Amino acid sequence: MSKLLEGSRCLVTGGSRGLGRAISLAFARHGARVAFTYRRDTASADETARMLRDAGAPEPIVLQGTVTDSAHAKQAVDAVVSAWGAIDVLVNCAAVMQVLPISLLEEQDFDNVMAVNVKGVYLFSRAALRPMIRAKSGSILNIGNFSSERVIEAPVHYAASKSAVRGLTEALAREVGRYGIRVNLLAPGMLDTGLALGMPQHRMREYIDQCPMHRVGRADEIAELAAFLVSSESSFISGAKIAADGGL
Amino acid sequence: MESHDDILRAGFDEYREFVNPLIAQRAALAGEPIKIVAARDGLLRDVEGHEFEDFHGTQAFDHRNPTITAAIREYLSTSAPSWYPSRVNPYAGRLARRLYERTGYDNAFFGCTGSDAIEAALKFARMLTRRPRILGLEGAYHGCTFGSVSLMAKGYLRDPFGPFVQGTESVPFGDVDALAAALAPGDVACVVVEPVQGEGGVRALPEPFIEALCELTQKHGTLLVADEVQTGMGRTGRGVLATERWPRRPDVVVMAKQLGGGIMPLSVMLTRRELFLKAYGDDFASGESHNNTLGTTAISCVAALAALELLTPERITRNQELGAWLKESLRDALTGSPLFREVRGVGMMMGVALEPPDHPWVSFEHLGFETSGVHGQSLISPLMCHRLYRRGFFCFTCGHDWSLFRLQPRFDIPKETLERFVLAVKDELAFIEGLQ
Repeated sequence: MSKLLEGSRCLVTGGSRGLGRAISLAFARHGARVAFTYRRDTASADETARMLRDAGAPEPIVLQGTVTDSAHAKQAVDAVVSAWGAIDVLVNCAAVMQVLPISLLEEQDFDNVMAVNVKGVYLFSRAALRPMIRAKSGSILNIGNFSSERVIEAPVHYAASKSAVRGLTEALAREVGRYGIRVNLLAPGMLDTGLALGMPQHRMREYIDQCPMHRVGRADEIAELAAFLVSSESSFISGAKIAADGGL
Repeated sequence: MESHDDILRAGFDEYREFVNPLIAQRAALAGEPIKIVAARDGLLRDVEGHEFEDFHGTQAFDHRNPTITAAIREYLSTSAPSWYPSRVNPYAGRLARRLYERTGYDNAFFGCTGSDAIEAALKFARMLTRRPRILGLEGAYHGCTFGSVSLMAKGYLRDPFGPFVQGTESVPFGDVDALAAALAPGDVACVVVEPVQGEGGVRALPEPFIEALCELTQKHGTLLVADEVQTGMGRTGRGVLATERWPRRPDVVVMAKQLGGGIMPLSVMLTRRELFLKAYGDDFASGESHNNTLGTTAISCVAALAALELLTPERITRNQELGAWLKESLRDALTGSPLFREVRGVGMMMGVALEPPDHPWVSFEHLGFETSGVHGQSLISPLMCHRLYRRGFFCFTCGHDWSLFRLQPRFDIPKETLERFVLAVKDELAFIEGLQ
């Protein structure tokens, strides 16, 4: 396997579990140096760090904090730049998902999901862009979701947040393209992690029936695509939404 | 050796993958606290640090009570075997003796679950009386083995498993005439009742029915079996057993759940030696014709001995007094809400009956449940439980009647916690009302 990210300095938010972990590991397999953030689950963060070491990756930088905290965003980016000299890649993967119908969705639920899923992307992107723009190089990959547009009855705050991230991605790509920085959105279909874990059986069946490939995706499939999208192999792709959803 | 940190991190997903994905999905959809990684000071704590008060009832002495865990540790520091090939287990002997001292029943058969002990009771009644019929009450829940499921209330927990054990039938709850008619032929081996039906909607047996039950079973030579899996071990505040003051003590009593101190699986069928010998005393083979292998282990008995020590008369009295206060407080707080029906129960075993809100956007279908999977049940208790998880209270819906949620607090729950709980229920009921 050719290594797409040899020597790249990458920061993955929400990298301790699920898709974030899969992306961190894929990046390491592709030769990257990986830093990742996590909120509270120290055991999972330790496990991810161990897996990165076992994969032969350089010592990872592990950062605890919430993506809604601008100081944490700045510290995380500073830690990467300070340790490795620059930051080449930011993946905004941290997100919360909460299955609630609108009748039970309270204002604080809405605010919390929007804060983590949208404001967090803004804060980390802003923090990372300062060194990226100075270096006139960099790649930001935001993680969207198929639920923002179609197919299933997704929780409205979650769907709204993922739609907002799409808008943020397109606008940011236009704004920073002049500095050679690419910004893209990777929108996975239903995976074997995340949203699927809270889906009732009958909704899952409906989804799989509609999916031409008749299955959910695997986190490692998405992670490989993420590695491609942040690598120089996709040097002319920016402002794009790339779906990986089995053909929905 | 497996790492506990690793189990507490990955084991939840492994449960979903290798045990029961539907339970895992239901819990996720309902917003139940799932990733619980610690039990401290009687409270459960999830991976994100949120704390929960558990009202299931199995943990009557708190999760991981230090006295019970210390007793288990002390046992493990000895070289005594946990299992005895002859089955003459000294720990079972000591526990049976202590149970006799606390309940008056001088013969015990141990199992792992309430279902085990109910099964033992049904076979015991048949063996003793050589009669074919076994009566239960409508709304019953006695467990999930074939004998106990044959006595289960009609519905999703019972119906798919037929045909049932021959001779089992149900009598309408509290119906003295129906009971008398069913017993009249004189061919009933036993009547099995719960002093307070738990899954059936926290329904206490009416006093006139208890009197008739005691009288009629004696008159017809039918064994009276009390399923005290939920009510036993002081839960109702009426004594170690809820049936202690019945006009006639049941011939057989079954206990489980909190008997093992919330740590070890243990159940017991208690009866009198005289009856045991009459049933099984013909010869050695008969004497162990109903048996199990791991029903009696020293470690389970040690946990139960410690739990019994904790079950002081003062704790039982507190259950009665605090339960009465809670019942009245809930009634006072909720009266006036159009969704409130009643508070039921005895001591620290309580249920709150509610009406569902009348609006289509508060429906199972809208909440993402498959309507064929809810069996025409009310939405209100699952909805209330969902709201209470968010307030740090883990409540439960009655299995046969989803219009009630059950409250079976730990015995040492601080009164202040229950005061907070009452306010939380009041607030959440107002929230649900506001959805209409």
